Amino acid sequence: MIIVKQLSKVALSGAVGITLISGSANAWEPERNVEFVVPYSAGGGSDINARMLVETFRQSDLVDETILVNNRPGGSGAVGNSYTYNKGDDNHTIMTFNGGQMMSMVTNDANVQLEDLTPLGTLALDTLLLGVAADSDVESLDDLIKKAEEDSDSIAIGGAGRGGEDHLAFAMINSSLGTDFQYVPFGGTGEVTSALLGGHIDAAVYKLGSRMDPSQVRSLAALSDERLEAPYDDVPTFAELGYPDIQLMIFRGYAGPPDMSDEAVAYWEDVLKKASESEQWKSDYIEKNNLIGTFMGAEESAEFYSEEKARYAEKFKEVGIIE
Amino acid sequence: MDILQSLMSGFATSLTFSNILAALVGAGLGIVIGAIPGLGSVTGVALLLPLTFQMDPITGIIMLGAVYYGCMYGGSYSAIMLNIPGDAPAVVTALDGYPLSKKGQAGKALFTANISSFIGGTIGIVMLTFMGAALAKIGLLFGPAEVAALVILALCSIGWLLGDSPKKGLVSTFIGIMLSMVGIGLAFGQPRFTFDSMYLLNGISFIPLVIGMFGFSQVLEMMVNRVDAAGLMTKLSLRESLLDRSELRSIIPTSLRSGVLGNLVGILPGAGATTGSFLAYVLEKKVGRHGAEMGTGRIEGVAASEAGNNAAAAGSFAPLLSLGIPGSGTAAVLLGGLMMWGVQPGPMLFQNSPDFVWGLISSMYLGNVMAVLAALAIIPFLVKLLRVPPAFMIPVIAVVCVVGSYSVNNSMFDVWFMLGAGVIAFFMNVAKYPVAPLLLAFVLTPRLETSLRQALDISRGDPSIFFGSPIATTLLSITLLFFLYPLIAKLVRALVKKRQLAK
Repeated sequence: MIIVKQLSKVALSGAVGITLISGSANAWEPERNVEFVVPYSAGGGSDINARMLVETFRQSDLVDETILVNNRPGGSGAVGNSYTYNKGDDNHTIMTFNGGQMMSMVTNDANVQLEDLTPLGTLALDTLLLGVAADSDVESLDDLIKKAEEDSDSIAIGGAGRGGEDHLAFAMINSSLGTDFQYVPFGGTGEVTSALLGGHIDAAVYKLGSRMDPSQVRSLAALSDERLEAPYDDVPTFAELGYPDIQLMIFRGYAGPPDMSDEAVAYWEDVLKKASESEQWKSDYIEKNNLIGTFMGAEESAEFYSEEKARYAEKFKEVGIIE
Repeated sequence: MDILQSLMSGFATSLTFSNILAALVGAGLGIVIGAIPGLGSVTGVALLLPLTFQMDPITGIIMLGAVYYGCMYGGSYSAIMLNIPGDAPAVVTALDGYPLSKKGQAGKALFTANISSFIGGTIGIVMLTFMGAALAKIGLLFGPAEVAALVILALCSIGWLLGDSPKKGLVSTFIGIMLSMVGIGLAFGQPRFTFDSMYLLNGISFIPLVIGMFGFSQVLEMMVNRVDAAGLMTKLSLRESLLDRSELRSIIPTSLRSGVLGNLVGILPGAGATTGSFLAYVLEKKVGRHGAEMGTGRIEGVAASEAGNNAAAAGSFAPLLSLGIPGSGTAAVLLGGLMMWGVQPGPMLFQNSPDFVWGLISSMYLGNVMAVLAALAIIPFLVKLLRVPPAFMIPVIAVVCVVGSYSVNNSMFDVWFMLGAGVIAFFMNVAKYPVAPLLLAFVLTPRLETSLRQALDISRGDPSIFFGSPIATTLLSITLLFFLYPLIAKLVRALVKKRQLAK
């Protein structure tokens, strides 16, 4: 795959050279239907994200051609990733790309990696929190650490999935605090909440976007880089509590096939930026899903993704998910 | 009678012309979606969700609720008529439903399915109305250890379905267990038996497997064995399909028992409608008057399964409304919808938006009535459909199988997989290996593995977690008792005989 990639890069630079010589600097625009690949099934987080983005494009008249959402679930995102990879230099294919998708690239040692795709931009961030049941006697992170010191085997922390965002957050917490917490993976955040409220686990990690009800769950600390907004504005960040390493921002972004033209990348970057600024996107997507709105361009996204990927790999090695 | 008053005011909100229309349209759509193999209630609700955003929140949730109910009704149609279960709970319906069709009693099976769905659904809603919050609290008592014990009980009950030869049934069960192991295990996060194929990374999809094993193998069988097909297509009139009084009297107690059990199982986190309908079926086989004949085409079998899964569907709303925790995949999609309308489910919901909650609960009664009316109205057409000659029917079923398995993941891999599963199931049928235990083991095993691992993670490998909990201990004791029952019975019989001889 690397060889193919190199060859295509040579070919691409050749093509760019020719364009420059011929002097046509016309901006690229879609000329036919655009395919929007979602590597997860209909109704999931990425699917909602894609459909809401298409709706924003439509209402704000950002993209003239029709955009068709194509769900290609399977392999924790690997099926969609490789589908998009195989589109080669197609400027009319874009794909949702999120943190979990990149984590599974790392943990499953997938064929198609971050380097095989072209990041286009990032519009939303999510983060995680550590919490206990609202009726628990644990009031703060210190209480939890103290409880763990008294009985080192006693603390079980639930989260959604193994080798995903929740597990990664747990790994960061456990290694930075130097505790011996036990991670218990569940099928989804709903099941984690059940187990927490039923007293079967002691604490849980959960995403901000899952909107844990403060009357049921007491959040002890957030993995965000700064204080969250209400109703979590009284929850300290791990950095404030003296653990700056425990920080994780999960992204929701977009990527294209490996050899998308620079003009097309610029085009998609531009419409994504405009979408992120629209009122509709802010109120109907960001607010309703309790996410943190942001905009990172293609280059900035690429840098952010590769830094995060290195960090994921390091942490997953620490907890033994990968070798 | 605070609850009754709230319910009445709920009806006042929900019984408007536009809401009734929304419920009717939703029920009709749901029946169609549920009847198409490969499309289930999760997909149906997810696809219609964006449509309802334009509506008033109460109208929207009424429509979605009706879609959900309609799907539960429609799922049984293809199971009964074509032996293609539309979703996992309908596998249990097919056990007796399809043999009934083969006997030329498809109409009776369809009526039974609808009436017991209605009874089961109504029991579920009534229990939700009066004890929703309390039931949800009971559900919380079921942690990983308790759920593991419950699934062990269900998995061991498969033994009762084994058919003629226990050995062949066991082989089939173990194949099901092995197939369910494919994919990334939740316990270690490592891919297992994927042969480096990314299509197998998330495991084998249930829908292509079930469509192949039940539906496509049927196509092959109809092609090879013409007599069988002719038996299936016997003419029947609508009057013959109606249930007579004694039949009605026979399925009502079954539906009541199954409804209560199914509802309780539906409330448990992650246990789901399949476990509900399956345990209801097993209960009926043990305590029902015609238990011994179940599996050969008894309407009681259809009644138990359908009442069980509809009641479980209603049960999954209890934790959703009172705790904000979805009890099923469909409930999770509905939760997304509630949030889009700015309604935050959870303990505060009953206080903060009583109009909405009671409107929703009353709409469930409405949705259930609309669904049963729409379903009963469709039966005459379905019965006519059965008269289509096999020469036309076989290609149509084959197309439904291919389209159904493709549409789940938009993947040709699933179509090839479905065809392969169909061929294997065809030979299993020829050799008299039952297919149903394979599919039930396939559905139940991942649940068991997950819960067992979670329980042992929590206790750090100490099995005493299963004996510290009264619920888990009771469930495990029941399982053990079932295992030892034949042995004890034999022993008692031998003792009695000995005493008689001594006399």
